[in-house]
Amino acid sequence: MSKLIKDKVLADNEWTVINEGDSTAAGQKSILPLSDFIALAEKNEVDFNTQACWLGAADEAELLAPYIKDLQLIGLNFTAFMDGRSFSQARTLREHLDFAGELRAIGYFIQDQMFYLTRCGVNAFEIPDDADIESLQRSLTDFSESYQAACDEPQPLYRRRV
Amino acid sequence: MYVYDEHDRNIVKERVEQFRRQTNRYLDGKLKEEEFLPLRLQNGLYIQRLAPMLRIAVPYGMLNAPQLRKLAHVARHYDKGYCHFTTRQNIQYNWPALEEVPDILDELAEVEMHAIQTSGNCIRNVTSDQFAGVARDEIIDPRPYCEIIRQWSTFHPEFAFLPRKFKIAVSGSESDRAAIRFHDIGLQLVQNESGATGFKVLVGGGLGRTPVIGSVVREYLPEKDILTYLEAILRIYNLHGRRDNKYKARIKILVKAMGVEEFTSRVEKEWERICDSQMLLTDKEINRAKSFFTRPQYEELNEAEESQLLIGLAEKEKGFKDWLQHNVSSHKVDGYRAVTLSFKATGIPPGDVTDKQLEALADLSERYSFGEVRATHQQNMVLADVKAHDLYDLWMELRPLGFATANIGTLNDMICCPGGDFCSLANAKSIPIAEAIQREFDDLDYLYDLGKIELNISGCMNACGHHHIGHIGVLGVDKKGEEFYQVQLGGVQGNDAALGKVLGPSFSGHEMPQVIRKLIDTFVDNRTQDEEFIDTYRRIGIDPFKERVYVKAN
Repeated sequence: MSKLIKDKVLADNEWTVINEGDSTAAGQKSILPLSDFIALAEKNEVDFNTQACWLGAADEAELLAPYIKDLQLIGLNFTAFMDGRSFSQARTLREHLDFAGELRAIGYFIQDQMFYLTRCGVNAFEIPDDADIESLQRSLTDFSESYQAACDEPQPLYRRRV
Repeated sequence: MYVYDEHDRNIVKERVEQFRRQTNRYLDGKLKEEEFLPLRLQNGLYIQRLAPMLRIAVPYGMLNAPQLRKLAHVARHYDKGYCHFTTRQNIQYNWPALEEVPDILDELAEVEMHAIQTSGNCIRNVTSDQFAGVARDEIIDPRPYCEIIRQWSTFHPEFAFLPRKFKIAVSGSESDRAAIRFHDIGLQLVQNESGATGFKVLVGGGLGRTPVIGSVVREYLPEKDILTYLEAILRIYNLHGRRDNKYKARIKILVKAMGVEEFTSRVEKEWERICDSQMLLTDKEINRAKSFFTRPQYEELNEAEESQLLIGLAEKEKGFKDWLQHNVSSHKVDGYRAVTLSFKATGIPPGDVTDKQLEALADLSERYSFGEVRATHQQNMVLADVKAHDLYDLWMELRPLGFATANIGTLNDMICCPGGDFCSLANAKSIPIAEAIQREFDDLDYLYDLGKIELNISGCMNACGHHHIGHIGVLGVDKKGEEFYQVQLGGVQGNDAALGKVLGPSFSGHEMPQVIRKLIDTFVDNRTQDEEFIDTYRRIGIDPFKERVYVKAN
């Protein structure tokens, strides 16, 4: 299982990402593709203690609105790190849908995006087993100040400047 | 001019440190080439044909004397003693060493400069009118709003990996000198019936492969709503812009595909959700931004006396008279003028400037213009606040520096990208074409008779030389490994913006001076009295030009 950084520190990774077409092992905590999740949810068959959902970059975050209070975790899957749609999905989930659970970046993102992703509301990152944790944690704190309001700082700098 | 506080300084300093770590990881083999690519681009660093190229941001074109001296220092110590002003008011160094770039950024940070977001698929440097704050036709000074937008867009966490680059321009005057109709977002400052300040918002303009004139999505947006509205536009673009084909990834393609109405309605819907968020601007912030762009300590001068003096001097010396007529503009304050320094002396690549020239410019700005200069998107430089009675002395000092060529607004004041001599994207060279045309038209009086003609040259369809919006546009193309040049006519960049039309089959480089000569002859033969080139073209159409240029030799 991949390593996990959650709330800026190494953490146990209890959830497995299920790819489209894969099946889940019984009792396993699974992050399902959106289509599988919606299919189960429409039949009221989601066990929210062991089942969560991940969004591909092209998926519409708003589709999760009916389940947002029950979901413990939402994954944002990067198939290519240059695809920045997940950044807007994250803010939509946090700011429009008020998602309060774990928002986890999965797939191919790079450490240099983690600071921005955190600002957009992502609080957990699945990272490769051989990742340099120290270097990566340094990237998480690239900046101590930002101009804009975002999920980590509700006020833009101009409302905080004295 | 905007002055950094501790927050701004800290942010730029942390950026330099971040980039140093990224560069070290790359050089240590810990960061892959393709992963370093967007990181270095967002720091303005390209790997070019001959060496890396570093693009430095000049926010909305404003520079002060210490910054000019620092740019000279960087040119001398890290480059070959010169740099280049671009068509987006930025500066490029063509010969820096990759491993020294963090040091260069460190040096620039000392004078509140940086290379943040000067390339890459993010929000780029905000551009504006070089006569901001001094133009007679100004409605509202755009610079405070440019600065507010600069800060908002700097390290915006959501919009650093857009489908493609994103450019914003702001105009505050009646006559658009910032080409706002050819930007991803163009903002025109306006006042409504009750005198309140706001913006007319245009989206989806651009040049490049698919040139498009921007569409109005909002006739009036109150000033305080600007950041939330920009955020809504960018979010819709980030989520829905095409990512499968980089040539179809700009917002102009999305707006065309969706239709302006549908696009606008999505933006408005998104905006309604965030319009009263904390990103709503405050009076305090608008006033803070405005406090950096106050009226300098102008002297009280008598306009009639000052102009009388100039008329007298001009009568005595034709060179001065020509310069006054072509390179000097009116000013909103009595007795003052704005001076455009020509970076278009024949034989010098348009926009290029040496370390010594930069230092001389710094001195001149301090002695004649409150220590500030502005870069123009036509690749010239402006001293915006010169006393009329100082103009003669200034002219005398500019001449030996090579900045006094009295050709602003003429055919020879051409916009020209670095082209195939430097740029790895280029299909053809552009600088030698510019020079050959300048040599063909070496008689200034003849150029003056021709009146205002805008000639823009791009070395490839990325259109950094804005060829689509030149009255005469030249585009370098590659045909089976050979360089050819396509000619377009009828482009216009201002309020009555228009895209040029292709004249016909392309020409080889050595034919170009004669092709331009034939176009000009056609104009001269057809023009009525003092009619301008573009008006003649609009009246007679493209055919007479085509016939003259493509007539078979018999």
